[in-house]
Amino acid sequence: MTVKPSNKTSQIDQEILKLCNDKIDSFLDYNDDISVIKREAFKRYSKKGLPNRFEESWKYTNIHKKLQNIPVSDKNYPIPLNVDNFINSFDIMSKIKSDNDTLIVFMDGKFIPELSMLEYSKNGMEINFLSHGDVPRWAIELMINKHNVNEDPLFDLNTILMQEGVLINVSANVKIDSNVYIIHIGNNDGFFNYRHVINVGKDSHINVTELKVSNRVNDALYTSSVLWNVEDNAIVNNVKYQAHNQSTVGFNQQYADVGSGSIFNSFTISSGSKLLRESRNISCNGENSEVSISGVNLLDGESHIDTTLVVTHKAPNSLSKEKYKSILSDRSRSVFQGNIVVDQIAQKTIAKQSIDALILSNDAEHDSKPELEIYADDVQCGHGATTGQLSADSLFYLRARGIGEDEARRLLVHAFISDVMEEIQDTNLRNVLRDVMNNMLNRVSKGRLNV
Amino acid sequence: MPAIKETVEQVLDIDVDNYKYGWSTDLESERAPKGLSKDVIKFISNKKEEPEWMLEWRYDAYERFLTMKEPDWAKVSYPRMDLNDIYYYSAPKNTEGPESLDEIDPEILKTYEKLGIPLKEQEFLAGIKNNIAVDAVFDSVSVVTTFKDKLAEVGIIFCPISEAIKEHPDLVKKYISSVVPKSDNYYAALNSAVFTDGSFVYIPPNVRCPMELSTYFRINDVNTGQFERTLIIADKGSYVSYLEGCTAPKRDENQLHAAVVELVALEDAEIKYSTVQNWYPGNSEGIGGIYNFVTKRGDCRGDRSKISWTQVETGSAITWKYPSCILRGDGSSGEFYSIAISNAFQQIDSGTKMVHLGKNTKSKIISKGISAGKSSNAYRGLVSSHKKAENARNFTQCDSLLIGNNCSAHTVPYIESKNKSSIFEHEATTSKISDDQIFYCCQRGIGKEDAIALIVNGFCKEVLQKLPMEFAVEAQKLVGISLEGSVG
Repeated sequence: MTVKPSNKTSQIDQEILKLCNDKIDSFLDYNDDISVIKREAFKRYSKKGLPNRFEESWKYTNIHKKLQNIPVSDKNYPIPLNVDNFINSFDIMSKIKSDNDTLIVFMDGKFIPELSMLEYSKNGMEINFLSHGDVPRWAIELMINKHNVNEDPLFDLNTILMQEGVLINVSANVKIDSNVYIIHIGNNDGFFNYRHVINVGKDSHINVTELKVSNRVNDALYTSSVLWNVEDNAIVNNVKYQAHNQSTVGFNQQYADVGSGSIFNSFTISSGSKLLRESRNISCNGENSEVSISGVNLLDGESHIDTTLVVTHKAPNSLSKEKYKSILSDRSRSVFQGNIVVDQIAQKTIAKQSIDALILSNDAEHDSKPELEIYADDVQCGHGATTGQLSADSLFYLRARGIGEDEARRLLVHAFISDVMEEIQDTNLRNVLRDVMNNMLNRVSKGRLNV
Repeated sequence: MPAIKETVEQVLDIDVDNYKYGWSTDLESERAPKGLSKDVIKFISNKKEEPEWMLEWRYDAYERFLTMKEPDWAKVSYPRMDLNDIYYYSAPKNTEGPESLDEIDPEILKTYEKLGIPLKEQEFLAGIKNNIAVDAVFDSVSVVTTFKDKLAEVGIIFCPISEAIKEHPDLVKKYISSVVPKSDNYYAALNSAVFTDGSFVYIPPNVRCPMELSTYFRINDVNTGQFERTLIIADKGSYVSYLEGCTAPKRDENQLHAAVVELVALEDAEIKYSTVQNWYPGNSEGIGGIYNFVTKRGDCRGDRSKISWTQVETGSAITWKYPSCILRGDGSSGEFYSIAISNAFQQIDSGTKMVHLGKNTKSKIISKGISAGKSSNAYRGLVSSHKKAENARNFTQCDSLLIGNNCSAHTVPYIESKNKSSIFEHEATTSKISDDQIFYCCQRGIGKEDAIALIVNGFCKEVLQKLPMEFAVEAQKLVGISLEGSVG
């Protein structure tokens, strides 16, 4: 199949390139580390531009088509007057937030101190911001490391344009009991780029919850990358919840290096979005490390959610599991590309991957590509992928017991995702998100999912 | 000086003349000139005494080929080949080849012995130049003729494709390149332009082919060589089982093999296609060996038709092969059973495509990959359902076994579902032979190598069972032999 980019798509390519060019020019004057990284990224990006479907990892996602009417310039809008009400209108937030949590709120690409709470962040947790200058050395080094091996043009784009983000450094032997929330709010149209860097010291423990919500029905485009460095024997619980309107295009990148004996759990709920690309690159760098990546994707309307995940085992005795469930309705499309790479040195690796999709509409499409790339012999690796609709037998079973069709469908849809929700470690958070999911699913099973 | 000049001019004249008229009249020549060009294609076509339309067809394929690029997406690496440094046609020669079995590499003879191949057959396989009539090789002249009579009786056409082009042009015209278009891929286009020979099978309606058809029996053109073209048509309600290749390692001078196989199953027809491939894999340093770049595709054109592929791949330095099924007819089904064994420096990138287009179509994929030595073994498969393919059903199982820690195994499945009623299931595992299993065997007096052969055979059992009886026994032994030297 040959897909030639049309004139329109090259136009968006040009627009973005022009924007990058303008931004880069403003960095030419000074010579700090960040601007060096940005210039390097620009050099690479300007050669390739936006990826197209000829590239293997973009086979199922036509980024040019989805970007056609999206504005690429970032405009400045005033912050809405009644900000508190605005935040509280997101009922999840009000339910899960406890008083001593750390809250870092960004809106339309800007850090909003009025809405954030950083008071409880003193003990062993250092918080900086990308825009405040004086980016700490550890963060710069992490960025350089990732950039040296990066092949994703969208990560380069994120680097060139990144204007804001939080830099969190947790010292060794610190257990942060409270939750750290990183919240992105899309309130206006525009093009926003976030970069967060999180370093978790030895024997430390942190819970980070990321929320991404967009409010209005405007076109918006954002890129957001999170770089994690998890040192030895640390524990990270990361939960992401992202609910967007049907006109938001988002590119998320997550990079994590997990050290010896560390545990890295990451759970994601994604829904809506015109296009959402979840690109994740997780490395088990140390022996006995454990990684769990799981999530639920809920798609409706014209949504397109693409999860592209690479888990690399670089040391012996590491364990990884991935579990994803997607529910598709209307004309939505979901893509899952998961690759498990086991290096020659990583003997005794155990890696499991399962990808399930429930398709509720005849116009929806699900594409999956679960890959294994194994260079070590003493390993147990496997993946499973299923695609299908609600089982007629199961429906019949419930109907035969006097349960109405709608209720029966609702029960089955709930059952489909119930086990993956168990992957959320925090009980309170799990219960709240389960309620949120239940509300959404009730609409799904009736054929509507207006997130 | 003038005399010399004159001679030079004369020689030049001859060259130019020869060029202008091609080599069509040069019947004495056993080889076409090196390289790929329209003249070489014309030469091949003339040699095969093909009608004009076939030559046009080849030219068209060549034009398309020129616009294409060599694919590089497969997980194999090799030095790119210079396609202009290859002979595209060479007639079987009687003057070359070893005189007797004594001249054959003793390693190969040992393998023959292990496989239990009769001496006469060994000579044939080793390419011994012999005075024995080819027919007598299997002491089978009678066998072949009785087979031919028996097939003709029920109306089955089984002949070289070059013969079919002349004798049954309507059938060939109707079906050739209808499954694998000329410009399907780089190697298919190349094959279409320069293919030398292959098999043609036509099974008339409601006929169940009384025997397993095999290239073995069609010995009159054993040297079909590197660009083979096979076309099998099973008309309504018919059944045929076709075997290709053989278990014995085969000497072959050609490095590049680019075959095309097309299967067409009409309503209620069934085709079972089995392959055992054991070409030269290169030496223990990974030098030499066959490049096997094959396009195989079956079209379940009629309702309720069925195509089943079974393959045992143990040879070749590089294998690039995806026997596929287009499930066009409603209720049609496709199957793919594969064992791919790679040892030493072999590289395999193989798998299948199941394209569900019709309603209630079913497909099943069982793939067993075994890698040993320093080899790389990849399964690459596509399962897709069209919007209208209601109730499409697929089950895929890909298991990989690694022996030793210098080899690698990869699984790259593509699963594309475009409607809600399709149910696709895919599972893959990668593991090694456990020490417990080997210990269990060794404890009972079975040597380590035999133990591995036994365990691997158990691992592949599901696929081996699908092979026709006479193949299955040999294939089972082959599995053991291919893994020799992988432990220790």
